[in-house]
Amino acid sequence: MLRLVTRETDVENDLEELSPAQLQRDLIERIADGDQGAFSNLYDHIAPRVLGLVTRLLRDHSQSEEVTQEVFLEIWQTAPRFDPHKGAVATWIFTMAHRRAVDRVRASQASRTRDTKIGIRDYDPEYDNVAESVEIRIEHEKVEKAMTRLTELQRQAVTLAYYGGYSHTEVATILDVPVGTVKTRLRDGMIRLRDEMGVAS
Amino acid sequence: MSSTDDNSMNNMAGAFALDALSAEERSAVEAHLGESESMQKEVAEMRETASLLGRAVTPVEPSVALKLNLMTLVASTPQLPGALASVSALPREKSSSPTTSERKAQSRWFLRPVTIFAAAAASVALVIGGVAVANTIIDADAKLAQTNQLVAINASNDFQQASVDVKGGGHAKLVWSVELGSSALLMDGLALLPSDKTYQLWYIDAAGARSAGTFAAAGNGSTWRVLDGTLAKGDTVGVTVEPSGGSTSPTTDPIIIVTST
Repeated sequence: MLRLVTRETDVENDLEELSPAQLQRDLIERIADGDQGAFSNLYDHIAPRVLGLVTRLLRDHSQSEEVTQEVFLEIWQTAPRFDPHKGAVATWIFTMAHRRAVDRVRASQASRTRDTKIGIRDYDPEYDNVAESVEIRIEHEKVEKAMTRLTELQRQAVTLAYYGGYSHTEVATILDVPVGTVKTRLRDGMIRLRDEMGVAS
Repeated sequence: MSSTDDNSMNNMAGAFALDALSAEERSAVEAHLGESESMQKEVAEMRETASLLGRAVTPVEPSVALKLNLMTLVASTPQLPGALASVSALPREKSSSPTTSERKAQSRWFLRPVTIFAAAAASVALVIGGVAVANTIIDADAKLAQTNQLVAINASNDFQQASVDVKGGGHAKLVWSVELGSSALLMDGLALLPSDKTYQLWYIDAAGARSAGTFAAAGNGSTWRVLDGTLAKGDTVGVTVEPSGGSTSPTTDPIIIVTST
């Protein structure tokens, strides 16, 4: 392969060399035109992280793969309607994945033992046998650092809701505070995280 | 929660972005979003924030079967038509390429080759200066041809499969069609090789082994490859580790050996 290296970096892996956001936008545009190769590329690029998030919520591996399949089929079907002005591709994908995982959690709630303590204890991710890329480690550290800026109650509420898939009424029960308080804490917590992580539209 | 009071709505923005609302509340917020630009902005920022939480989660490697299923589904699943408003708002830099609607009309999967060519050409033009990107697109085309072949094998009338363990760890599944004279090997947990080595595929019959191409294990150990050449009924498929570039005949013991019937 051609090597046009000016910095001491390894360009072996083409996908990593582009800005991920730019690459993903380019891929989505091609997927919107029916390009299955672009879909395959996007899948390779982001599926492990989508499956990681879904598994975090559902825990069951085969159910998580099912939901991930639904997410990617939705990406394929709705790519022509993706509007880059409304946000990044990754935001779009993770929003779909989270919502579908939460819907699945709620649907299977009756048969699922929901250990109400798990959500809190479990914020530190279990390290699977997959090596983390530097990119993911940096993002992880960014989130962890931002999390330390929240009050205890904000942190617990946000963690239970996002990583546990609990509704605000469930969060209220678990934390033994009124529902109204949970809503306020979720909003305040998200505003603080937004500012800490430098999100601005 | 039927109140449309702005304060109570705004207060739900966090819970909304975290998917923590009940179905009724979710719909109420969605309805309200259309009317309030400030809340739209707040929700968009919170969604991005939430997605950062999602992106920080440790990845989990999907099974090879998931991708195979998806590529098969995608080949037969129509896409939604693009919303006109958002299409026209897109910065379309591909001015010389066919219009979106022209391409849409061609995008039935069995007409792919023409469409891919146009799309690939346009993409290459878009990223002049990005040698790496051009390579990605060529790789993507080769991969698409492989994917189409894998889908064809799976869709064949005489589709067969056999699974074996990989010597040294991992699993391999051979799928084949004698009718198509084609096979593919799907592997999980395959070790990464040093850069001076490659995996090489072989079709083996009574006359000996003929090369069916080389491949590298993906970073996650999950990979698949349609074999080059033609499968004959009863052929055995083998994988060996060879010096980079491949060998004319196997020089090491196979790590995978599986016989078609």
